[in-house]
Amino acid sequence: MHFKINMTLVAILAIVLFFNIPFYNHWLNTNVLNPDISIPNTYKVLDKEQRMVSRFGYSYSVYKEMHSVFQKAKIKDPIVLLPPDAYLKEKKVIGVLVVEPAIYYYFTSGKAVWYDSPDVLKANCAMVPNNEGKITVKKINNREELNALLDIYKKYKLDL
Amino acid sequence: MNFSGLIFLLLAQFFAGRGVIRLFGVHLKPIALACYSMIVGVFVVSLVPCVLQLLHIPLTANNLYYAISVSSLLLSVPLLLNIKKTKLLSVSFPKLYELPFLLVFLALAVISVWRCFYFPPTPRDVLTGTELIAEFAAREKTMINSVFKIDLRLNSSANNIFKSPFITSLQIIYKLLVHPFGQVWLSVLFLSFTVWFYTLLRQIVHPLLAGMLMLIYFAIPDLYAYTYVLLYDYANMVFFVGGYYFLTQFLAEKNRRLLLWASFLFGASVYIRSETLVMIAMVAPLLAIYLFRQQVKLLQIVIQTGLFVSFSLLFNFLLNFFISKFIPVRFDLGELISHDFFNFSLLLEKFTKIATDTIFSNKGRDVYAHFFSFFVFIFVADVIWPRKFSKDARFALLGIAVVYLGLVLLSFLIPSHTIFNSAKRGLFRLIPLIVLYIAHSGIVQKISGFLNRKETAASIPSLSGKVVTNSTKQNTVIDKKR
Repeated sequence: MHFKINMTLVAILAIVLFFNIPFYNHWLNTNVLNPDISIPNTYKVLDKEQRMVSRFGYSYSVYKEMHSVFQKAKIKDPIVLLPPDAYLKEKKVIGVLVVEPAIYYYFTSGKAVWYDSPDVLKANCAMVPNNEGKITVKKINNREELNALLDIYKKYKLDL
Repeated sequence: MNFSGLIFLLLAQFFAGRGVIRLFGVHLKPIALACYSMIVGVFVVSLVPCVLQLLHIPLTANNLYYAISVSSLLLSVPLLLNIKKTKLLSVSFPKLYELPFLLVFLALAVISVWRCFYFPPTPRDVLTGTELIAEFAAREKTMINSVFKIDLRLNSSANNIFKSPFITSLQIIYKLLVHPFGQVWLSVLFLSFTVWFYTLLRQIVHPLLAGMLMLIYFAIPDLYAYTYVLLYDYANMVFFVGGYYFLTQFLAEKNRRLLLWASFLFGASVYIRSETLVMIAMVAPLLAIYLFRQQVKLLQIVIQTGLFVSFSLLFNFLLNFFISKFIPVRFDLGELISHDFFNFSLLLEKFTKIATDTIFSNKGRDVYAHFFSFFVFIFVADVIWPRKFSKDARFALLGIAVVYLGLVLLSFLIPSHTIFNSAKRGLFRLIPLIVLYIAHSGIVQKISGFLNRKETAASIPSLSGKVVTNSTKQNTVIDKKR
């Protein structure tokens, strides 16, 4: 029995020492025991949408809101022209990341295009940052309005 | 969350997997049998939506429920025919000194399972590929759905929609029967594999050392993260490592059923990630050479090597068949393959870069912690003293070399297979093999033997009139063998 008790103490010591190695200690405290995503803090919030927001962040809420605006405006088959991420950064938009058309579809069930998408000419609305660093949505009424936006967006590189 | 759906799936997977193992006729120890029943069950059940799709049957919850029930019952037939031979699971309780480790593992496992359940699938690779298809398949009742009408960036290097339907199918099943995010099947694989791997380590080394090795294994940040983050690599690792382990068992026991079983597990890993075929193609000649050196007849070498690659080829064919049927756009792999076959300096560069840029870099440390440094330390120590490499240690080292060289070759042949992003997760296959090597290494075996002798000596005074536990007996036998 003494052997087993001694071995148990060795096991406990090994675990304590292991998690005191700086890297593992940091990993344990910032990842495994991260309070933001700990079980006590998350089990109260079981609503699907809130869990999506907690994972995908503010961008997810922006895209959902944007899609609902198009629906409320009764735009038939809205196809959103998304700006390049670099353009958003230049306009000092904080907290919103541009997603690929596929992820926009996953988030909202709505269609989106980038300036190099095959269906870009079908875009009938757009996500446009204003000069105050805020996101606005805009209906595209004709080819001239679309081309004007494309001329701006094409100056920026698209990043996946 | 639909708990009855989860229980139904767990039972269906268990019986389907158990039936498949019975079909192969391999004899596994009780815990290994239970764990592999679940692991193989997950794989078998993942084929069901593909069959329904081929038959143009809508992918509804009811249809999946009936189809999974029927397929599990059919696969259970060999089990039912041999019901008298079926033994109940007997489990020996862990020893006192294992409990601190087991409590830590339990806590880590609970956190992993919770995150897997709680958070939606996140990686871009699945959100623009299999998860996207699965989400809309669950809504539109078909895998060929509205997703293919949007811009999937097919003009770029992205090829995420052409990945294996393994995740797509499991996501459809779990979304419709269990939970809107699906994904908890990953926890089933994680728990089953981890339990099997720990029991395996306990057989190789003293349980105290097994606990320490498992702790180092558990605390690899990225490997732990991918137990709840949906991607292919963890599942691929589970089947690849299982296949490699049972291949070494075949080499030790010469039981052809084990060869077929290993082939099946390797085949499943190919179905999940087709590039695994490169590694299996590298193992096949090694197997043939090994058999030749064992003076096996040439015909037998051809047959056994053929059996070894059979399931990988079959599942690779099935994978390409499903992709051609379910993805209504075409994809030319030829565009991805480099044609600069004789650029040996590039090959050498890839060989060194996986080590320097991925494994032993600062980024690599964030991904694997000190795991690889620990491996190098044990290996160097082993070379210095006691300089004894058992057959099992050599097999593990060979597996490590195959995976590493396979990744070098993939990075060389496919430029989009980037060193850091693609090879990083591909190296997961190495990790359990490294742990197995460390367990079999001369130095760890010496320590294990010492602990076993001490434990046996400590238990001798208390033997009179008492029953020795099975595990103590087992450790003593192992120790004597050494």
